[in-house]
Amino acid sequence: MQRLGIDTGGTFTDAIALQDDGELRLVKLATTREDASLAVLDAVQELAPAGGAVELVHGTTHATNALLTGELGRVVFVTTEGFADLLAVGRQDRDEVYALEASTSRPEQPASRVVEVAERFAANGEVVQALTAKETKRVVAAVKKLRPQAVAVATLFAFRNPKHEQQLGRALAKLGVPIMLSHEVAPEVREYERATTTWADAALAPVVRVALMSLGERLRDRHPGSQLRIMRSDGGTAEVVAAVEHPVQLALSGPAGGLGAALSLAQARGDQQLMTLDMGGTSTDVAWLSTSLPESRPLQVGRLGLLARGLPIHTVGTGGGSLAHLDAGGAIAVGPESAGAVPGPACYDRGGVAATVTDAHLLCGRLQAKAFLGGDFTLAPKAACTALEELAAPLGISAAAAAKQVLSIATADMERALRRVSLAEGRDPRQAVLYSFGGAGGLHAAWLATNLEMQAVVVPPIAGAFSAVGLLEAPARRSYAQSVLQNLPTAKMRASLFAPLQEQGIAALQAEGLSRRSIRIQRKVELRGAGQAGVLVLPEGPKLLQRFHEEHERRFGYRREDAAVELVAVNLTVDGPATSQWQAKCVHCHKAKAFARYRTWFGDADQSLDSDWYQRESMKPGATLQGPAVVAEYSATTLVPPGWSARIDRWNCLVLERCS
Amino acid sequence: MSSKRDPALHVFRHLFASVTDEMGAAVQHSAVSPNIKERLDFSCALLDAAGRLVAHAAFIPVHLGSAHSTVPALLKELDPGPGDVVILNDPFRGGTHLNDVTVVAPLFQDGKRIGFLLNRAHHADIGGAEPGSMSGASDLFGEGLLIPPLLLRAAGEPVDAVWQMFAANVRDPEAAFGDLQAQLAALHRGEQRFQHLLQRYGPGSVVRAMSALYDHGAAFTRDMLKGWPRRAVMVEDYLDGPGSPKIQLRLQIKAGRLVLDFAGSSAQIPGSWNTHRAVTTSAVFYLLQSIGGGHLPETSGTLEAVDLRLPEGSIVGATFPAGVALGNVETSQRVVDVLLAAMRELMPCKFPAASQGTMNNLLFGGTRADGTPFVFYETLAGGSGAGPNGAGASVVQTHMTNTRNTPVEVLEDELPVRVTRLAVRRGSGGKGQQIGGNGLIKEIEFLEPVRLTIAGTRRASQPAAAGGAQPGRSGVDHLIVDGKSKRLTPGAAVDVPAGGKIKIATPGGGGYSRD
Repeated sequence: MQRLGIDTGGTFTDAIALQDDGELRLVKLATTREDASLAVLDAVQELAPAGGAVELVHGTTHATNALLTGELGRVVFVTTEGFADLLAVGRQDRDEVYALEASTSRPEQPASRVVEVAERFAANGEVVQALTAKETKRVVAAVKKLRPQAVAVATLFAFRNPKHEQQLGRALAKLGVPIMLSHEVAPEVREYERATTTWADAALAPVVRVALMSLGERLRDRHPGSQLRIMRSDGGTAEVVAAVEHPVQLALSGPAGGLGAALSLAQARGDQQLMTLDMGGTSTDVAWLSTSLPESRPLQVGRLGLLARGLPIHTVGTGGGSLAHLDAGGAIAVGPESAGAVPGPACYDRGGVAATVTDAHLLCGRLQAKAFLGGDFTLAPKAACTALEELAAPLGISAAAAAKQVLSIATADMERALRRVSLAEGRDPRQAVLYSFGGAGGLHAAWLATNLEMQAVVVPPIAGAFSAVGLLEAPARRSYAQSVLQNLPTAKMRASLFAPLQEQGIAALQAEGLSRRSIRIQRKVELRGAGQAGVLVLPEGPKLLQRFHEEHERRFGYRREDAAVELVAVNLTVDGPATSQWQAKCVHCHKAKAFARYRTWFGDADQSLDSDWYQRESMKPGATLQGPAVVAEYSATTLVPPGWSARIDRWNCLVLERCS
Repeated sequence: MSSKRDPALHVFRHLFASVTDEMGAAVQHSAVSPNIKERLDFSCALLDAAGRLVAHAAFIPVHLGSAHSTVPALLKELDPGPGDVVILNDPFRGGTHLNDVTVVAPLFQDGKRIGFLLNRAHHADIGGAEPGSMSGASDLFGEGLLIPPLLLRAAGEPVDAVWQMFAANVRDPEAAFGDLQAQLAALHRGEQRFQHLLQRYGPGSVVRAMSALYDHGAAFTRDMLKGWPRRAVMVEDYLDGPGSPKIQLRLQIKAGRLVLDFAGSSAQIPGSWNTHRAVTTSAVFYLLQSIGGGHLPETSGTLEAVDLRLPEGSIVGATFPAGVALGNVETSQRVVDVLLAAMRELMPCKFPAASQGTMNNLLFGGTRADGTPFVFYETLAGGSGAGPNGAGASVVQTHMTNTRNTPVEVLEDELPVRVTRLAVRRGSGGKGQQIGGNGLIKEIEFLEPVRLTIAGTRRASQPAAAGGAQPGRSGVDHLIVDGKSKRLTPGAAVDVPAGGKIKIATPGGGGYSRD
């Protein structure tokens, strides 16, 4: 069965198929806003015109968009007596410290659709107030009266003792709507975050289930025998029926594809630690990844924090379309406002008049008017120049000088983001390789790598549709996290904590037709010094204490060997076989041929330099070149500054290295 | 004067902020007490050689707006060298209130001191008359351990005597030690990062950027003030409690400067309700930053164009040895209320109504069944004021603080208490064309006896409305023992037996109408 990866993005739907000759075929279609499935089905049609069965792996924005726009199902929220307003109270903080009128970001659940239940556990899981059969019956009747499309149940300390939630779950099942129980959705401490996650899961269920199940049906109508798999936020996939069971796990389905692809490529290339830089039009995603211990952490969608685990994506609001302006003190500032795709940067000549980061690139010779999108789209340097002149005039500097400032500021903002995911977490960027994808990442990657003293930058092939590549190779996966919160138990006792999760995970993958032997299991523990908030994630195994203290010193700068070590949670991931499509190619060392020579500014130094421009598509594995140079490709541009060299490696990646 | 080759100012704004980001992450990850690790009641700052604020991690306004007063005060007494770390909490020698333990490290380049890093964290207890250290005192001495600027580390080595003195004076020394260690870890991290900046850009550029950012902040405020009407406005407001101390303000733009004259405010009073210059200044800093909508550079240059006239020995300009523990958290909120009221007078319809105007400080301490001591502190949210852009937000921290609550599941796991109710206090926001945000109701049952204080204001008065709208409802606190309910006196400690309960209802925000 042919495997397809299709990623729905804000502007484009990217589809990729692995062809019989081992090459990838890419189709880019405009995303159909009213019904994203239409573009997906069209893309399938184009890649599999014969109508045969396909295995479609889909990165979806359904869940993300529904959460951001609030187009959600009608949820009844059930919680412990006294806590009806749990979701409304939140963590009581406001969004912005400095704002005259405070705003908050909490689930919008009307008070009239909350049902309290008389029950209570203590912190140790002992019953304080038992849930009676009579009360259960009353609750079911009350919920029914509110005509829910889905029910979210989150009671206090359910992560410790799920008995009451289970009892409620069984009784509510007869309502025939999705019932989400907090100890199943996110068995972790902190009632507000757990309840929010459960609420989001329930609110998404009616919407996401319909959309994705109908996509599956339409796919099978046109391509009988086809299978639909959905990308989860954790970088693995699930068969559509299983995927929509807990749709909150799809909240970051889209970007997870890119990170998954980066991890798989890193495995092939042998890079153990990497940082990813995915720069788009309005924002930039960065992440720290490790191939030996892929990390999952609670997700953030908009401003809503969820306990659903996903790959650790950090987003900042600087992208190619970010607007430059003069702040009230008279200095150039960049963002957070963006020109977006419409009207877009001034140089798109579609009605945008304000200077953006992209305009600054064009003026500094880092983009060329006629070498953009393979020449399909001509940029307007004059419009860029006018916009930047306007910005520069009050400062009495040239448009070019203003452009350089804009680029320096945008780069510094991204640098701050990369520092947050690395140095702030006690990780050394010098030990990592920077993976740059998305259209604009390559314009900043080597500059950022220089500032962070990183030695190499990898720009994968098809960098502009990298998320779709990740879909092709993602394994079937389930991830589980269970709060424990006790002094570090013995290995044997830990094994008994992992056992039920493992059983559940294996059963889930076997239900998708995988054999027990093909399933890989990864066990991780989350540890902390007694009472601390900072949690360290380590692989389960021998010498845990010793490894904890070493890691503690590395991350936080000191040891606390006198304090007890607590097991905060256990994490377990089960994976089906991953299909790496990274196949080594033959390498013939040769000098690449430039197609043009332009003046280009490379950051930091004052002067622009004469630089050779190369076409990525015409470069074969083994091609080498020296900075200062620029490598243009259909949907991306990569700068190779002086002091850097570049080559195409055997995985067909463009690899930039610092010359020693 | 910046050199032509220096990078753009906002490049340094991001990079300096990156230093304080990392400091913040270090504290949060390694602190021990819930107040710091869960509620994030701490702040980090980068200061220039003169101690002027250059960058901060945006957490707690009351910490940050006062950070620039710290270094000038400590330099009067100490001349910290490389590897030294100064500790202090004396409000009249660079601190805010005693719970806010501040650590400061100088930054050196070629033997020259070119800046400072500061971390300020609210310790749940700092000794004194009552658990939590914020009640029961008539003056500063009763509020706990007073730490003048002292070396906590000298040339990289811990000064054991100071650590021992500290540990001997607080109720939960183990937690305090963990927290203090976390604060030092933050300074260490910040120093490393700052050194990298020096290597990358050269000390000349970095030092010039610090000073340029300060000047930039000053220009920002001056520009903002240009649009304000020139006429003088007078407003006054009162604190709860005996004598209803008055805060009076005359605000006027004069020669491009913002003149804030608090003449006519009450004299400082016995107890802990006074604020001193650094904290009153931080309220002004907060207001200007908020009017700037978060676009102002986070530097104390913001205050350059402000003349703050505080009568010596007044409730807003208290002098040693006035008690200030609650002034920091309560009176500072009232100073913001007064400043906002003046802005509403100056530019009608443009500014929101008053928010809850209190932090509803909840403090208690006792002994667990196993004999170990515990102390707990948290502040509670209320309603925010409605404004021209819409209704007020409900159950939200306003103005001078933005700490989170402690999750029930964390609180009950660590302390012998049971939270029995957490609810929006419906109807507490003031009515108007835009409705004020609602306050909070929180009920806690104690499983062991505790000594407890609830220190909140707006119990006797109401958060003001804007225009012809209605004010928010006052807050009210009850102690319930054996089914009998009794109103609590704000700021007075009480004994609560096992099985006793408290119910706190926090104020709503004022409504807003265009009249």
